Amino acid sequence: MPGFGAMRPMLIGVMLAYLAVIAAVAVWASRRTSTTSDYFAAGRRLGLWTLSISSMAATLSGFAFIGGPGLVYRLGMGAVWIVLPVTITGTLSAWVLAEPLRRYAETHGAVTIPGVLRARYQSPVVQGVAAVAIALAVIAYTATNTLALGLVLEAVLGLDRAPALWLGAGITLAYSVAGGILAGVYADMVQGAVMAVASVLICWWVWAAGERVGGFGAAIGAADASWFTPFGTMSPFAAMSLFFVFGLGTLGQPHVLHKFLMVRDRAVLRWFPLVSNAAMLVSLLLFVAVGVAMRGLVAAGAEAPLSRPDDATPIFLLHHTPRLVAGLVFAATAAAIMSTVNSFLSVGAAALSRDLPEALGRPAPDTLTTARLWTIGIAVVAAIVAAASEAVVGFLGIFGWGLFAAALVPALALGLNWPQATARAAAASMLTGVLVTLAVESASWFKQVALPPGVTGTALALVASLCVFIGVTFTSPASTHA
Amino acid sequence: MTGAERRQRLGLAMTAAGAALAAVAFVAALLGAATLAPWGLAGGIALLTGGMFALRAGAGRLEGRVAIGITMLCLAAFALALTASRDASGRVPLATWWIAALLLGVPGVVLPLAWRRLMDRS
Repeated sequence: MPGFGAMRPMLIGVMLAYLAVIAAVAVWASRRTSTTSDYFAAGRRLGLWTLSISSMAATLSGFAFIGGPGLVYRLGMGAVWIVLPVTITGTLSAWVLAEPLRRYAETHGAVTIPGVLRARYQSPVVQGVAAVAIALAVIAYTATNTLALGLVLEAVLGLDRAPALWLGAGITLAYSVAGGILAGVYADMVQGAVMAVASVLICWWVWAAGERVGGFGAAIGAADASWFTPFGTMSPFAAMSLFFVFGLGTLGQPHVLHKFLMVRDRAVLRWFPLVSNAAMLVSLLLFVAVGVAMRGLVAAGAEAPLSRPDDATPIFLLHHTPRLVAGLVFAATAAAIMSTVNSFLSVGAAALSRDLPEALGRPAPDTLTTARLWTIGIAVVAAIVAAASEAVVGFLGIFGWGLFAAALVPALALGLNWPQATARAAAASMLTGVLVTLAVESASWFKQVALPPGVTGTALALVASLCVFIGVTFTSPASTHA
Repeated sequence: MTGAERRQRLGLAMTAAGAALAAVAFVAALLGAATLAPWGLAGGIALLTGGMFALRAGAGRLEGRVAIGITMLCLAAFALALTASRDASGRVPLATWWIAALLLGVPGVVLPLAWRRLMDRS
């Protein structure tokens, strides 16, 4: 990231104010966390606003504020196909998953996604495979986000990489361990509000920057005719593949779906899609607006071409917004990362402390101490991986999200609504998702295969696990248990 | 067979056809069929998304209508995008905004309202 110079005192001030609020939330939540149900399922007392905003905050990681605008800058409107499915999948997740998940929480006392899968398929194997898939993806994705948080703190606070990384991990771990998911969802409320306000505010300065160069549309159109076309500079298949992966893959993200297990009652779900859609759209304004602005400013000659597309947001903030707004957006970026990491830690700790021992027939002591120790363990392992090698983190990051999607979408989205679906199909589809993702992404990363644009390990694994789930259900007897 | 069972079968058929079509599209892309692959994936996504709306246990007429509606909406948006992308005119193409409106605006408001009706009814 670029240097901040004279802007640093203001950035540090805003960041410290934000962290003070998070600390207060952690202290408040820790006093209300006395059981593992509080720790993993927030005592099942989430209302509409807490559910909607915390789901949005958990969904959007630092990618939405840093990587996303960089992609729009580089790929044009093609990158927007990542955002376009948001309004369909928001309602789809409520329609297909929220009600069955809430029902399993109420009738079976399930507090984890693998726990729901065990109750649905009456199979410890399905629970165990889901727990392993979730634990693998959680460690991979937490390492990526820990490194991203370290990079933000390194830039804002002027620290070296290693102390910045451990400071970020320590702050997130402190409130996650103290208050569990209860601290997480209320911190998510603060973080989601910061993200939404920052995203709306930035649009004002994007508009002002556009006025100064005579409009971005004309400047970009003159420089690159394809940029504003429906697929931007991408191939149609690659753009549509983004819609496929980000649209349907959302139905397999346990750190978001887990929140449906925490709702107070079904009436909470009534307005959830509308509020959630509005929150997502508002918070994603920055994703599109800053990417368009930087491309327009470069096309008009007001900015030098970016050497790294990920610098789009920092450079726009430095050169085109007041210090307070820049501070708020950086705090929002840290907030987006922290809220995602907290949710990962919660589902990862639950998978390892409850689901895996249960699946193996050796339930561990169901205590807060056990849950907290697993949370610390995952966070420390992820931070060690993040500190050890950026290359390793880059490799892990590409399959974290995809692993969730490929492993869990069929068993959850189809299985919870298709009474004939079998345990054998669920286990087979999850294994297919994990193995295809790992095999294809590894082969691609180590340059053993060159895939055409749009054909990613995640997309191939997702389509393969869907076909396996449907095919095995049709070919296995209805009473088959894995 | 009851009406609800028929509609759920429709959802299952749409989902299975969507998964199969998407799989064919990815194989076509791997084989370098650049024209066929995006159309196949467009159809696959539309059928998969619509199918999942219809698949909900005890699916009623509302689920059936939403499933068909969302399939047609996705197909229209994808077809518009695939057709418009062939003509890079140098201006901001109107099709870009129509696609965004179809995929963001309509489902963003209509689907949550349909969901609320479903919650009230059940």
